[in-house]
Amino acid sequence: MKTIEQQKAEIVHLFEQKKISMVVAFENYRGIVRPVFVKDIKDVEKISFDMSGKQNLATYLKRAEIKKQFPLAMVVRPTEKSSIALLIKENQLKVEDVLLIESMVSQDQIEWKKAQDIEIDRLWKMSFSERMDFWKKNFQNCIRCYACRQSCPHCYCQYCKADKNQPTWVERSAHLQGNFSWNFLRAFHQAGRCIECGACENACPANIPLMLLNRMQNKITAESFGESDPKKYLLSDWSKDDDNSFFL
Amino acid sequence: MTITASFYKITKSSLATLFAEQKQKGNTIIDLSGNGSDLSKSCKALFFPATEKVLEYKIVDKGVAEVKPDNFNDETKAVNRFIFGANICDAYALKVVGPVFGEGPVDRFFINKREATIVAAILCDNKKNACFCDQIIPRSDYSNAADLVFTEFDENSWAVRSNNNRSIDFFGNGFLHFIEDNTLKELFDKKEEKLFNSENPEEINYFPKLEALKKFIEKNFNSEIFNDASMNCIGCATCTYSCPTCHCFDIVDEKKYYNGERRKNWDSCAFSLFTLHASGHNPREYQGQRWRQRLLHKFSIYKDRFDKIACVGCGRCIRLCPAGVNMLEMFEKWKISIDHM
Repeated sequence: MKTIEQQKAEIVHLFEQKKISMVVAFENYRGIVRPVFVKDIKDVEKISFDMSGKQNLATYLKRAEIKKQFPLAMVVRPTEKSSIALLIKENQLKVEDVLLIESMVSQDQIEWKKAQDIEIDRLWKMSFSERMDFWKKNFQNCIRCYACRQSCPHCYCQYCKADKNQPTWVERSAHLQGNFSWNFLRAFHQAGRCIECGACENACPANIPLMLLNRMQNKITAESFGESDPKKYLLSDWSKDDDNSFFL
Repeated sequence: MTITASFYKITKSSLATLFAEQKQKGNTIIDLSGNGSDLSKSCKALFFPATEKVLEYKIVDKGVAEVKPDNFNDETKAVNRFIFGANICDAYALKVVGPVFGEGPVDRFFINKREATIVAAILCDNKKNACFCDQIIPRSDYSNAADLVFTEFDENSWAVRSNNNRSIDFFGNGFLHFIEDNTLKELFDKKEEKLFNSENPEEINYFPKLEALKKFIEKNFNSEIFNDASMNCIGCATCTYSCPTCHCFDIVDEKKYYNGERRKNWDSCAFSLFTLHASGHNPREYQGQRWRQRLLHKFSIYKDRFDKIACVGCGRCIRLCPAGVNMLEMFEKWKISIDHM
């Protein structure tokens, strides 16, 4: 096990050797754990290895400004690692672009997931119309700020379908119909890809329980197509033995 | 102009009775005073909703549409809505954005709602995290921000400051429950004094002079400082959508077969799509440039155009930001340069 001092020394060493131009990590700014971008040796002190930040750092890897800084180093938890693995699998990132510095303090996500499992069970037991009412109640608060999309490392489209208006695929208005189309569209695009980091739910200013949707969907895809295979890619792989029962 | 405010006292129970009476008459009473989310407590959406129908159309023939305008009515509406428990900053924000919708081509959607609504604010007891209204709202405008300003007199009654006669007309005979007592002015002055002199929440060690800040932002238009300060920004619109003064909107047509609606939706300078040209060129390519725009609009452009600062210091953009972007921290970082302006 490395100590925090050793890890910081390692980062300084990487800077000195000019192997990296930037470190993406978390800092503790007056009690708020938030992302920090260290470009200089003297700022390495800022890095906090307390990884209780609610965001997924891998989301910054899709930004043009950050891409210019490759190769960079990132202090990662298991969530960031899974995201980066997925981005590499989907050809969005090269292995050499990001140097991973593993934080020893792994973020314990079991707590909130356990609480949510109970909620998921409750939703499954509901009738269709009850479940629909549950989502209606939640989605009517959506203001379409797209914080869920922006905080998600896997929403990396240069031009999101929700932004296209010729023709309009998703109604941009924040009414129930538009909110349903948007939230379901995003959920479908996460099918089997979501790594359940909870960044979208934490970012949502309207407190919509988005992880319920994503995790329920992960469950369905796992049941229908098997647990995700690191070599396969659910959205583009196909086999004739796949579950076809949902076709009418 | 001297402000002719009058002061009243009303028991909480008779206020509740008055509200019940008004509800029976078919008027709307909106109570924001309870525990709501930070976002839902902003009353911006009650005047300028996230989405609003502008008109309906029906395509009857090739290139021919029947249009049914909606809400274009420019008669002054009778008051039919009472918002109770807004924050002073949010009520003041309605005054700040008033000229955008009310001057030049009048936006009837906003103005009709404003004319038909009485806003009653409650004085805050203390500053919340990241609140800085005392740095921005002029002291003279503070108690004048809403139609009515409430503050707790004791457990059972409210002290009320009425800034105009609108509520007298609204409550009619019911207004007799409000007992005039002009000595209450002292209570308001005292509470305000206390709020303005209270310790700032920990976040704020420094707030620049607004004139200097304006100059600083203008001078650094092409500088890297905005990029560096907003590296964290993930480009969602939480700050602008929760902001009580942000008022940018987009017009979209949404249709089903031959029937459609034209809608007015919130839009945000934080989106890359906001400035994307049809050619594909985007003059604000990076998030830093979009942040610069937000600061420029709030502290410089709006000041030039309407002589007001388009920020009321509610602190929502700081509290709600998922990535911890903090406007006050930026100012603190630029402190030396700003003070030199």
